[in-house]
Amino acid sequence: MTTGMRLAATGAALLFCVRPAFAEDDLTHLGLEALMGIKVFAASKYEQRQADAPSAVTVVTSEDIRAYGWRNLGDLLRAQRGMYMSYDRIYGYLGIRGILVSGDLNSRILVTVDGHRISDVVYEQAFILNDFILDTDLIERVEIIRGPGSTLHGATPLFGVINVVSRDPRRSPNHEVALEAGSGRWRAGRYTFTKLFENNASLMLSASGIDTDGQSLQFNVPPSWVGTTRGTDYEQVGRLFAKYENGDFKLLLAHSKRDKGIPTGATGALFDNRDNRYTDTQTALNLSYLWRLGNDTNLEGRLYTGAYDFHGNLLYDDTGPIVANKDLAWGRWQGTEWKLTRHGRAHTWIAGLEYQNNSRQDQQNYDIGGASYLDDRRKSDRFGLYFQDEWRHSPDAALTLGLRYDLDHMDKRHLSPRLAWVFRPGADKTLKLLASRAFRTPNVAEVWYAYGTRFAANPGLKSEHIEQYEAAFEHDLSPRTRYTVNPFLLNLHERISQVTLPSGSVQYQNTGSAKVVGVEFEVEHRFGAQGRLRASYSRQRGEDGNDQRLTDSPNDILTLNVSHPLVHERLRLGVEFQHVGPRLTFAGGTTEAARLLNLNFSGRLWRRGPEWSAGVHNVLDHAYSTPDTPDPVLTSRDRIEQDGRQWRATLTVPF
Amino acid sequence: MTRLRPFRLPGIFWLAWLAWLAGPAVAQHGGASEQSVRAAMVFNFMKFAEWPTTESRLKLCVASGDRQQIESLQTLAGKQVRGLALAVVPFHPRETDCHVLYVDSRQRWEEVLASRPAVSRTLTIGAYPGFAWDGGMIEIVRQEDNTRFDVNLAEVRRTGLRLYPQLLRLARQVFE
Repeated sequence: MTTGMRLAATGAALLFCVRPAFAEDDLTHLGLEALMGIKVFAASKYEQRQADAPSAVTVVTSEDIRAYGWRNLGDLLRAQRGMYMSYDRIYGYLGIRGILVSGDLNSRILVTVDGHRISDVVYEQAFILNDFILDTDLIERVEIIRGPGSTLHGATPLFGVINVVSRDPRRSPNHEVALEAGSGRWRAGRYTFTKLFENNASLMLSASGIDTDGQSLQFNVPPSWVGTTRGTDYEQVGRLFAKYENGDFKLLLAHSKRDKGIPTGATGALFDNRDNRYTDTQTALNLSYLWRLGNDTNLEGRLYTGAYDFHGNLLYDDTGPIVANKDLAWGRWQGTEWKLTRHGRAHTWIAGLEYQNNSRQDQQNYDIGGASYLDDRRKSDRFGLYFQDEWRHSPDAALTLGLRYDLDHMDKRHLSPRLAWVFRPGADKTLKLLASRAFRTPNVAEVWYAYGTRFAANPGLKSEHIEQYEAAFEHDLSPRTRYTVNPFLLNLHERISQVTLPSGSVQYQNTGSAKVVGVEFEVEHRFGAQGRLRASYSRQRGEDGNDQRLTDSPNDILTLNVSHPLVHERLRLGVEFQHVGPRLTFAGGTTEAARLLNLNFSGRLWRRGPEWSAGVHNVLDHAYSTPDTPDPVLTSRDRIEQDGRQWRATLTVPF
Repeated sequence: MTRLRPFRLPGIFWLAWLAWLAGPAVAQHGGASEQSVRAAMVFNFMKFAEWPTTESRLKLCVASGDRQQIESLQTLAGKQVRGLALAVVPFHPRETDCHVLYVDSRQRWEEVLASRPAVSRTLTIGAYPGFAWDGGMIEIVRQEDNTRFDVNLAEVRRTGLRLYPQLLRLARQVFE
C-alpha cells in the first residue's frame, strides 16, 4: 500500500468512527448475503394490530362467494367450520359450536354491516338469509370472530361476531346489472351504480329485488295440517343500499323489505292459505368518522339510527269463522359509539363508550274486526364502557386484558372480562389461549310478548351468561398449507328458551345451564396456480344442567370446499360438501344426518367482462330435516323438511 | 463478500483496523436490530427489481405502526436505486402510485388490499408470518436469530414485475 492509500484508508476509518452519529444502524451498504448473516437481537416485535385478540378470525371473501355460488349469508356461514343452520321456512337460525337454542332468532350472535349492528330492538334478530339487509353481491368479505364478544361489543354476542364488509367502490364498475333465475321460479335483479370522485371520495347506490314462488311442501300434522301446500312458500324482497365515503368519513344507508309466505301452519294458522305472511322491514343509517391524532392514536366516532317493522298476518279458524290476526312490532333506536385506539411500543390500548336509546319497542296483536290481545309499548336505553390493553411483553408473545361495564336495557349491570395470550414459538406457528365472559339481556319480545292462550309473558326473566375457554393453534406447514386446531369449552348459564306450560301456552324461561366441550380442526391448502381447498371437522358434545344432550346440537360437522379453475378465468368449478350429524329435537326425536353436496360453475367471459355462474345446491337431492321450535298448536311437529335439489344461474354485466 | 486478496502485512493491519472501527455499525450487542436489517433488505430488494425507464424517482410506502421500523426505513430517503432517487412516505389509502410497499401486519395488509386496485405494479414486501400466503411478493422471515426472505414468484409474475435472478437465488424459498 502506498502512503496515499494509507491516508485514504485512515480517512475512511475516521469516517467510520463518525458515521454512527449520523445514521445509526444504517446497514444499506451491506449486500443481501451479509445482511442475512447478521444476528438480530430481540428488539420489540413489529406491531400487531389485532385489536380484538380473537380466538380465531375467519375471513371469507367475495371470491369464495362467487366460486361456490352462495346465495345468501346463511349459505356462506354454514360452509364454515363448526357452524350449522336450521330453517323453518320463515327465518334461518345459525348454530355455532353446538349451540342453537330453540326459538332463538339469532339473538346470541352479533351481525354487523360495516360495523353497524343490524339486530332490531324488539327481537334482537339477525336475519341471515334473503332477509339480510345487504344484497349478497354487495358483500366484499365477512369477518367471523368466534367466541364471546361482549368485552368490545356489549350485550348479545355470546357466540361470535360476524362483520359483513360491504363492497369496495374501487373494485366496482360504474354501472352493473345482475339477473338471476332458479328453482321455484326464482327471479332476481339488481342495479348498482358506483362513482369515484377526483379526491378519492366515492358513492355507491344499489337497488335489488327477489321474487320467488318457493316450494310445494307436504305436511302431516293432524287434524288440519295434512296434505300438500302450493304457492304459500313465496318470498319477495326489495333492497336499497347507499354508501358514501370521503377520506375518513363514511355514510351508510340501507333499507330492505321482505314478504314471506308462511306455509307451515305456524301457531295454528290456516293450512294452504296464501294470505299467511310475515313482512320484515329494516332501515339502517350509520355515519362514522376517524380522527387520526398523531402517528399512534385514532379516534373513531359513530352516530347511527335504525328502524324495524314487523307485520305478521295469519288466518285462523279455530273459533269457526276465519279470522285474520295481526301480529305487529316496531323498533326505533339511535345511538353513538366512540373508540379511542393508541399504539405504544409495547402496548395497544383501546377505550370505548357506547350509548343507545331504544325510543320505541312496541308489540301489538289483534284480530281484524275483533279483540286486541296485546298492546305493549316500551322504551329503554343502554350504556357501555370498555377498555382493552394488548401488552407485547416479549418479542414472541402478547397478553390482552379487556373489561367492559354495561348498564343494560333492563337497568341491570354487567361486567364482562376477557383474557387472551398470543404466542408465536416460530414464524409459522401461533398459539392463542382465550378466556372470556359475556352476557345477553332478554329482549322485549322474550319478556313481554303475550297473546291469548298461545304465548305468556315473563317479566322475571334474567340475563344469560356464558364463559368460554379455548385454545387455538395455527401452523403454516408452508405458505400454501395451514392447519388449525381449536379446542373449546363453553358454559352457558340461565339459558333462555321456549317452554310449553301445562296450560299449553309457550313462555320464555331461564331453563338452567348448558355446557359444550368440543374441538375444531381445519386445513387450508392452495394448489396449482389458483386452486383452493378448505376442509374442517368439528366434534362437540352439548349437555344441559341435567347431563341430558342438548337439542339441535350435532355431535359432529364436516365441511369440504374445493375451488379450482378449469379454463383460466373463463370457467371455475366450486365443489362443496357438508355433513351435519343427527340432532335431537325438543320432542326427544332425532333428525337424520344432513349430507349436502353443492356444485357451482362460474366464470368471466373476458377480463372486466360479464360474470356468470350456474350452480346446483343439494345435487344428491338428499332429504333431511332440521329441528323445529315448539309450536303452541302444532305440538307434535318437531322438525321441518329442507329443500331438495335446487338450481340457480346468474349473469352480472358491468358497463 | 469480497474474496480475501493476498495483502502484505501492513495492508492487513490497516484492514483490520478499519474493520474494528467499522464494527460498531454492525456488531452492537452481538448483532443489529431487526428493524435496521429489514430496512437494509428492503433497499436491496429494490435494487434487484426492474423499474420502468419513464420514472424519475421511486416511492416507498410504509404501512407500519412500529416507530423504530419507520425510522429505519426513513433513513433510505434520498438514496439512489439504479439512478432513481428514493422517497419514503407513510402509506395512506390515497397513495396510488407506490412503487414499493412495506407492510408488517396482516391487518395493515388487508387495509392496503382494500384500497388498491386488483392489479398494480407495486413491489410488496411484508414482514409478518404468512405474508406470502396472503398474496405478498417478498416475505421477510425471522429464522431464529437470522433474517431470511421468501419470494412469491407467482404474484410477481401476475403483476408484470421483474425481479433479477440474483435475488431469487438468495431467497430461502421461491413459490411459483
